Amino acid sequence: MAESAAASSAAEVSPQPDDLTLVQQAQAGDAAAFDELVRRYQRQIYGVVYHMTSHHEDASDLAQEAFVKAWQALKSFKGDSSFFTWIYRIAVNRTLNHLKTRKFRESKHRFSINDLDAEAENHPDMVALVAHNTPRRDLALVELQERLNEAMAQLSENHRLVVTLHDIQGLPHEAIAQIMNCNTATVRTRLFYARQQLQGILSDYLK
Amino acid sequence: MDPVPPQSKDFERLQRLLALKRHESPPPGFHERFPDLVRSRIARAEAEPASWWRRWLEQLSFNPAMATAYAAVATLLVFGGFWLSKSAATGNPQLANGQTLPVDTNQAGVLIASNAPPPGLFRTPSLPVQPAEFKR
Repeated sequence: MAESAAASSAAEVSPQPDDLTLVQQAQAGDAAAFDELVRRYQRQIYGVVYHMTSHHEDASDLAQEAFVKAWQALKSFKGDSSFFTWIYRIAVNRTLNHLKTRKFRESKHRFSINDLDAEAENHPDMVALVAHNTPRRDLALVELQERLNEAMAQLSENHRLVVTLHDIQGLPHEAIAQIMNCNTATVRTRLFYARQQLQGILSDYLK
Repeated sequence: MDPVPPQSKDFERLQRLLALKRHESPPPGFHERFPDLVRSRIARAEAEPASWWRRWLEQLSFNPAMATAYAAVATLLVFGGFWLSKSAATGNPQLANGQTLPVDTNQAGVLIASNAPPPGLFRTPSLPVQPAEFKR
Protein backbone atom coordinates (compact mmCIF):
# COMPACT_ATOMS: atom_id res chain seq x y z
CA MET A 1 0.00 0.00 0.00
CA ALA A 2 2.75 2.36 1.12
CA GLU A 3 4.83 1.24 -1.89
CA SER A 4 2.07 1.98 -4.36
CA ALA A 5 1.51 5.38 -2.77
CA ALA A 6 5.24 6.11 -3.04
CA ALA A 7 5.24 4.96 -6.67
CA SER A 8 2.29 7.13 -7.53
CA SER A 9 3.82 10.16 -5.84
CA ALA A 10 7.11 9.45 -7.67
CA ALA A 11 5.18 9.34 -10.93
CA GLU A 12 3.56 12.65 -10.04
CA VAL A 13 6.87 14.38 -9.47
CA SER A 14 8.72 12.69 -12.35
CA PRO A 15 9.91 15.40 -14.72
CA GLN A 16 8.13 15.85 -18.01
CA PRO A 17 10.22 14.94 -21.06
CA ASP A 18 11.72 18.01 -22.65
CA ASP A 19 10.65 19.27 -26.06
CA LEU A 20 13.62 17.81 -27.90
CA THR A 21 12.95 14.32 -26.56
CA LEU A 22 9.29 14.60 -27.56
CA VAL A 23 10.25 15.89 -31.01
CA GLN A 24 12.65 12.99 -31.53
CA GLN A 25 9.96 10.52 -30.47
CA ALA A 26 7.45 12.21 -32.77
CA GLN A 27 9.95 12.14 -35.64
CA ALA A 28 10.16 8.39 -35.10
CA GLY A 29 6.38 8.25 -35.59
CA ASP A 30 5.19 8.46 -32.00
CA ALA A 31 1.87 10.31 -32.29
CA ALA A 32 1.43 10.40 -28.51
CA ALA A 33 4.64 12.42 -28.17
CA PHE A 34 3.34 14.90 -30.72
CA ASP A 35 0.05 15.03 -28.82
CA GLU A 36 1.99 16.08 -25.74
CA LEU A 37 3.67 18.88 -27.73
CA VAL A 38 0.24 20.02 -28.94
CA ARG A 39 -1.08 20.06 -25.38
CA ARG A 40 2.01 21.94 -24.22
CA TYR A 41 1.79 24.78 -26.73
CA GLN A 42 -1.83 24.92 -27.91
CA ARG A 43 -2.81 27.79 -25.59
CA GLN A 44 0.07 30.02 -26.68
CA ILE A 45 -0.37 29.20 -30.36
CA TYR A 46 -4.11 29.70 -30.24
CA GLY A 47 -3.49 32.91 -28.26
CA VAL A 48 -1.11 34.50 -30.73
CA VAL A 49 -3.40 33.71 -33.68
CA TYR A 50 -6.48 34.88 -31.80
CA HIS A 51 -4.94 38.21 -30.75
CA MET A 52 -3.74 38.77 -34.32
CA THR A 53 -7.12 38.02 -35.91
CA SER A 54 -9.61 38.88 -33.12
CA HIS A 55 -11.60 35.98 -34.50
CA HIS A 56 -12.14 32.76 -32.54
CA GLU A 57 -13.13 30.53 -35.47
CA ASP A 58 -10.23 31.70 -37.64
CA ALA A 59 -7.84 31.31 -34.73
CA SER A 60 -9.04 27.79 -34.01
CA ASP A 61 -8.67 26.84 -37.67
CA LEU A 62 -5.24 28.42 -38.13
CA ALA A 63 -3.88 27.00 -34.87
CA GLN A 64 -4.97 23.49 -35.90
CA GLU A 65 -3.46 24.04 -39.32
CA ALA A 66 -0.15 25.14 -37.78
CA PHE A 67 0.09 21.90 -35.77
CA VAL A 68 -0.86 19.79 -38.79
CA LYS A 69 1.88 21.49 -40.85
CA ALA A 70 4.32 21.00 -38.01
CA TRP A 71 3.55 17.27 -37.93
CA GLN A 72 3.99 17.03 -41.70
CA ALA A 73 7.28 18.95 -41.62
CA LEU A 74 8.62 17.39 -38.43
CA LYS A 75 11.21 15.39 -40.40
CA SER A 76 12.77 18.66 -41.59
CA PHE A 77 13.08 19.98 -38.03
CA LYS A 78 16.80 19.90 -37.29
CA GLY A 79 16.74 21.54 -33.88
CA ASP A 80 18.51 24.74 -35.00
CA SER A 81 15.90 26.60 -32.97
CA SER A 82 13.68 25.39 -30.17
CA PHE A 83 10.42 23.62 -31.03
CA PHE A 84 8.65 26.52 -29.34
CA THR A 85 10.20 29.07 -31.77
CA TRP A 86 9.63 26.77 -34.74
CA ILE A 87 5.92 26.17 -34.08
CA TYR A 88 5.44 29.87 -33.34
CA ARG A 89 7.02 30.76 -36.69
CA ILE A 90 4.71 28.36 -38.52
CA ALA A 91 1.63 29.78 -36.79
CA VAL A 92 2.71 33.39 -37.29
CA ASN A 93 3.50 32.89 -40.99
CA ARG A 94 0.17 31.22 -41.63
CA THR A 95 -1.64 33.96 -39.74
CA LEU A 96 0.10 36.72 -41.69
CA ASN A 97 -0.79 34.97 -44.97
CA HIS A 98 -4.36 34.61 -43.78
CA LEU A 99 -4.57 38.30 -42.87
CA LYS A 100 -3.27 39.29 -46.31
CA THR A 101 -5.99 37.30 -48.06
CA ARG A 102 -8.63 38.42 -45.58
CA LYS A 103 -8.09 42.05 -46.57
CA PHE A 104 -9.72 41.27 -49.88
CA ARG A 105 -12.59 39.37 -48.33
CA GLU A 106 -15.84 41.14 -47.65
CA SER A 107 -16.56 40.06 -44.14
CA LYS A 108 -19.63 40.89 -42.13
CA HIS A 109 -18.10 39.24 -39.12
CA ARG A 110 -14.77 40.95 -38.92
CA PHE A 111 -14.41 40.13 -35.26
CA SER A 112 -15.46 37.12 -33.27
CA ILE A 113 -14.24 38.08 -29.85
CA ASN A 114 -14.08 35.62 -27.00
CA ASP A 115 -15.85 36.33 -23.75
CA LEU A 116 -13.86 37.64 -20.83
CA ASP A 117 -13.24 35.17 -18.07
CA ALA A 118 -14.67 35.71 -14.59
CA GLU A 119 -11.30 36.85 -13.31
CA ALA A 120 -11.36 39.95 -15.53
CA GLU A 121 -14.32 41.54 -13.76
CA ASN A 122 -12.65 41.32 -10.39
CA HIS A 123 -9.15 42.21 -11.47
CA PRO A 124 -8.16 45.44 -9.65
CA ASP A 125 -6.62 46.95 -12.82
CA MET A 126 -9.79 46.35 -14.81
CA VAL A 127 -12.04 47.65 -12.07
CA ALA A 128 -9.93 50.78 -11.89
CA LEU A 129 -9.95 51.24 -15.66
CA VAL A 130 -13.69 50.94 -15.97
CA ALA A 131 -14.58 52.85 -12.83
CA HIS A 132 -12.25 55.82 -13.02
CA ASN A 133 -10.41 56.15 -16.27
CA THR A 134 -13.01 56.06 -18.95
CA PRO A 135 -15.06 58.87 -20.43
CA ARG A 136 -18.25 57.16 -19.22
CA ARG A 137 -18.09 55.78 -15.74
CA ASP A 138 -20.74 53.19 -16.56
CA LEU A 139 -18.80 51.88 -19.54
CA ALA A 140 -18.99 48.14 -19.54
CA LEU A 141 -15.87 46.06 -19.64
CA VAL A 142 -17.14 44.45 -22.82
CA GLU A 143 -17.28 47.79 -24.59
CA LEU A 144 -13.74 48.50 -23.53
CA GLN A 145 -12.75 45.08 -24.84
CA GLU A 146 -14.29 45.89 -28.23
CA ARG A 147 -12.47 49.21 -28.41
CA LEU A 148 -9.25 47.46 -27.56
CA ASN A 149 -9.71 44.92 -30.33
CA GLU A 150 -10.56 47.66 -32.82
CA ALA A 151 -7.44 49.56 -31.80
CA MET A 152 -5.31 46.45 -32.27
CA ALA A 153 -6.81 45.93 -35.71
CA GLN A 154 -5.66 49.40 -36.74
CA LEU A 155 -2.02 48.49 -36.19
CA SER A 156 0.08 47.09 -39.00
CA GLU A 157 0.54 43.32 -38.82
CA ASN A 158 4.14 43.55 -37.61
CA HIS A 159 3.25 46.07 -34.92
CA ARG A 160 0.27 44.00 -33.81
CA LEU A 161 2.50 40.95 -33.63
CA VAL A 162 5.08 42.54 -31.32
CA VAL A 163 2.36 43.91 -29.05
CA THR A 164 0.71 40.48 -28.94
CA LEU A 165 3.92 38.62 -28.25
CA HIS A 166 5.33 41.08 -25.71
CA ASP A 167 2.54 42.95 -23.98
CA ILE A 168 -0.12 40.25 -24.09
CA GLN A 169 1.82 36.99 -24.10
CA GLY A 170 4.81 38.28 -22.14
CA LEU A 171 7.59 36.92 -24.36
CA PRO A 172 11.04 38.52 -24.02
CA HIS A 173 12.47 40.62 -26.86
CA GLU A 174 15.02 37.95 -27.76
CA ALA A 175 12.37 35.25 -28.25
CA ILE A 176 10.28 37.64 -30.36
CA ALA A 177 13.32 38.46 -32.50
CA GLN A 178 13.83 34.75 -33.17
CA ILE A 179 10.18 34.24 -34.05
CA MET A 180 10.07 37.29 -36.32
CA ASN A 181 13.52 36.58 -37.75
CA CYS A 182 14.86 40.06 -36.99
CA ASN A 183 17.12 41.61 -34.36
CA THR A 184 16.07 42.78 -30.91
CA ALA A 185 16.58 46.46 -31.81
CA THR A 186 13.92 46.08 -34.52
CA VAL A 187 11.60 44.43 -32.00
CA ARG A 188 12.09 47.30 -29.53
CA THR A 189 11.53 49.89 -32.25
CA ARG A 190 8.36 48.25 -33.50
CA LEU A 191 7.09 47.86 -29.96
CA PHE A 192 7.71 51.52 -29.23
CA TYR A 193 5.87 52.75 -32.32
CA ALA A 194 3.03 50.26 -31.86
CA ARG A 195 2.49 51.38 -28.27
CA GLN A 196 2.67 55.01 -29.30
CA GLN A 197 -0.01 54.40 -31.93
CA LEU A 198 -2.21 52.49 -29.48
CA GLN A 199 -1.81 55.23 -26.93
CA GLY A 200 -3.09 57.71 -29.49
CA ILE A 201 -6.08 55.56 -30.43
CA LEU A 202 -7.00 54.73 -26.85
CA SER A 203 -6.18 58.12 -25.37
CA ASP A 204 -9.69 58.44 -23.88
CA TYR A 205 -9.07 55.45 -21.68
CA LEU A 206 -5.57 56.38 -20.65
CA LYS A 207 -6.14 59.85 -19.22
CA MET B 1 16.97 48.85 -40.35
CA ASP B 2 14.52 50.87 -38.28
CA PRO B 3 16.03 53.69 -36.28
CA VAL B 4 16.39 53.10 -32.58
CA PRO B 5 13.44 54.78 -30.82
CA PRO B 6 13.87 57.62 -28.39
CA GLN B 7 13.64 56.79 -24.71
CA SER B 8 10.33 55.06 -24.13
CA LYS B 9 7.52 57.08 -22.60
CA ASP B 10 5.49 55.71 -19.81
CA PHE B 11 3.39 52.96 -21.35
CA GLU B 12 2.41 51.45 -18.04
CA ARG B 13 -1.26 52.38 -18.29
CA LEU B 14 -1.46 51.07 -21.82
CA GLN B 15 0.09 47.80 -20.74
CA ARG B 16 -2.46 47.48 -17.97
CA LEU B 17 -5.21 48.07 -20.50
CA LEU B 18 -3.72 45.49 -22.86
CA ALA B 19 -3.70 43.00 -20.02
CA LEU B 20 -7.47 42.84 -20.47
CA LYS B 21 -6.88 40.80 -23.60
CA ARG B 22 -5.28 38.05 -21.53
CA HIS B 23 -8.70 37.47 -20.03
CA GLU B 24 -10.35 36.74 -23.39
CA SER B 25 -10.85 33.00 -23.23
CA PRO B 26 -12.21 30.59 -25.85
CA PRO B 27 -15.47 28.74 -25.10
CA PRO B 28 -15.28 26.26 -22.21
CA GLY B 29 -13.79 22.90 -23.19
CA PHE B 30 -12.08 24.26 -26.29
CA HIS B 31 -8.56 23.46 -25.12
CA GLU B 32 -9.63 19.98 -24.00
CA ARG B 33 -11.01 19.23 -27.46
CA PHE B 34 -8.17 20.87 -29.36
CA PRO B 35 -5.68 17.92 -29.47
CA ASP B 36 -8.48 15.69 -30.83
CA LEU B 37 -9.25 18.25 -33.54
CA VAL B 38 -5.58 18.32 -34.54
CA ARG B 39 -5.37 14.52 -34.55
CA SER B 40 -8.44 14.11 -36.76
CA ARG B 41 -7.15 16.80 -39.10
CA ILE B 42 -3.81 15.01 -39.41
CA ALA B 43 -5.63 11.75 -40.15
CA ARG B 44 -7.71 13.50 -42.83
CA ALA B 45 -4.63 15.07 -44.39
CA GLU B 46 -2.87 11.70 -44.49
CA ALA B 47 -5.89 10.04 -46.06
CA GLU B 48 -6.00 12.65 -48.83
CA PRO B 49 -2.39 13.56 -49.61
CA ALA B 50 -1.87 16.95 -51.17
CA SER B 51 -0.65 17.32 -54.75
CA TRP B 52 3.13 17.33 -55.33
CA TRP B 53 3.32 21.06 -56.08
CA ARG B 54 1.40 21.92 -52.93
CA ARG B 55 3.77 19.76 -50.90
CA TRP B 56 6.69 21.45 -52.65
CA LEU B 57 5.34 24.90 -51.80
CA GLU B 58 4.81 23.82 -48.20
CA GLN B 59 8.40 22.61 -48.00
CA LEU B 60 9.57 25.98 -49.29
CA SER B 61 7.62 27.80 -46.62
CA PHE B 62 9.46 25.78 -43.96
CA ASN B 63 12.89 26.31 -45.53
CA PRO B 64 13.55 29.96 -46.41
CA ALA B 65 17.10 29.18 -47.59
CA MET B 66 15.79 26.73 -50.17
CA ALA B 67 13.08 29.19 -51.23
CA THR B 68 15.75 31.88 -51.70
CA ALA B 69 17.88 29.49 -53.76
CA TYR B 70 14.91 28.62 -55.98
CA ALA B 71 14.09 32.30 -56.40
CA ALA B 72 17.70 33.09 -57.35
CA VAL B 73 17.80 30.29 -59.95
CA ALA B 74 14.44 31.38 -61.38
CA THR B 75 15.64 35.01 -61.60
CA LEU B 76 18.86 33.92 -63.32
CA LEU B 77 16.89 31.84 -65.81
CA VAL B 78 14.55 34.72 -66.63
CA PHE B 79 17.35 37.24 -67.05
CA GLY B 80 19.52 34.73 -68.92
CA GLY B 81 16.67 33.96 -71.31
CA PHE B 82 15.98 37.64 -71.81
CA TRP B 83 19.65 38.38 -72.47
CA LEU B 84 19.96 35.50 -74.92
CA SER B 85 16.86 36.52 -76.84
CA LYS B 86 18.07 40.13 -76.92
CA SER B 87 21.53 39.20 -78.18
CA ALA B 88 20.04 36.91 -80.85
CA ALA B 89 17.74 39.69 -82.05
CA THR B 90 20.49 42.34 -82.21
CA GLY B 91 23.12 40.09 -83.85
CA ASN B 92 24.67 41.82 -86.92
CA PRO B 93 22.84 40.79 -90.09
CA GLN B 94 24.99 39.45 -92.91
CA LEU B 95 24.81 39.73 -96.68
CA ALA B 96 25.21 36.74 -98.88
CA ASN B 97 28.87 37.51 -99.50
CA GLY B 98 29.65 37.54 -95.79
CA GLN B 99 29.98 41.30 -95.48
CA THR B 100 28.60 42.62 -92.17
CA LEU B 101 26.16 45.48 -92.13
CA PRO B 102 25.63 48.08 -89.46
CA VAL B 103 22.82 47.38 -87.07
CA ASP B 104 20.78 50.42 -88.10
CA THR B 105 18.05 48.88 -90.24
CA ASN B 106 16.11 52.03 -90.89
CA GLN B 107 18.33 53.04 -93.74
CA ALA B 108 16.79 52.65 -97.16
CA GLY B 109 18.11 49.78 -99.16
CA VAL B 110 19.46 47.76 -96.29
CA LEU B 111 18.63 44.13 -96.68
CA ILE B 112 18.26 42.10 -93.58
CA ALA B 113 19.07 38.52 -94.18
CA SER B 114 17.74 36.98 -91.03
CA ASN B 115 17.64 33.58 -92.65
CA ALA B 116 20.88 34.03 -94.52
CA PRO B 117 22.12 30.93 -96.35
CA PRO B 118 25.37 29.38 -95.30
CA PRO B 119 28.40 31.12 -96.75
CA GLY B 120 29.39 29.88 -100.20
CA LEU B 121 25.95 28.61 -101.20
CA PHE B 122 25.35 31.50 -103.58
CA ARG B 123 28.83 32.43 -104.71
CA THR B 124 28.45 35.80 -106.36
CA PRO B 125 31.44 37.81 -107.50
CA SER B 126 31.90 40.91 -105.43
CA LEU B 127 32.17 43.65 -108.00
CA PRO B 128 33.55 46.92 -106.80
CA VAL B 129 30.83 49.48 -107.36
CA GLN B 130 31.81 53.09 -107.36
CA PRO B 131 29.44 55.76 -106.14
CA ALA B 132 27.76 57.76 -108.92
CA GLU B 133 29.66 60.97 -108.26
CA PHE B 134 32.94 59.28 -109.22
CA LYS B 135 31.62 58.23 -112.64
CA ARG B 136 32.56 61.18 -114.76
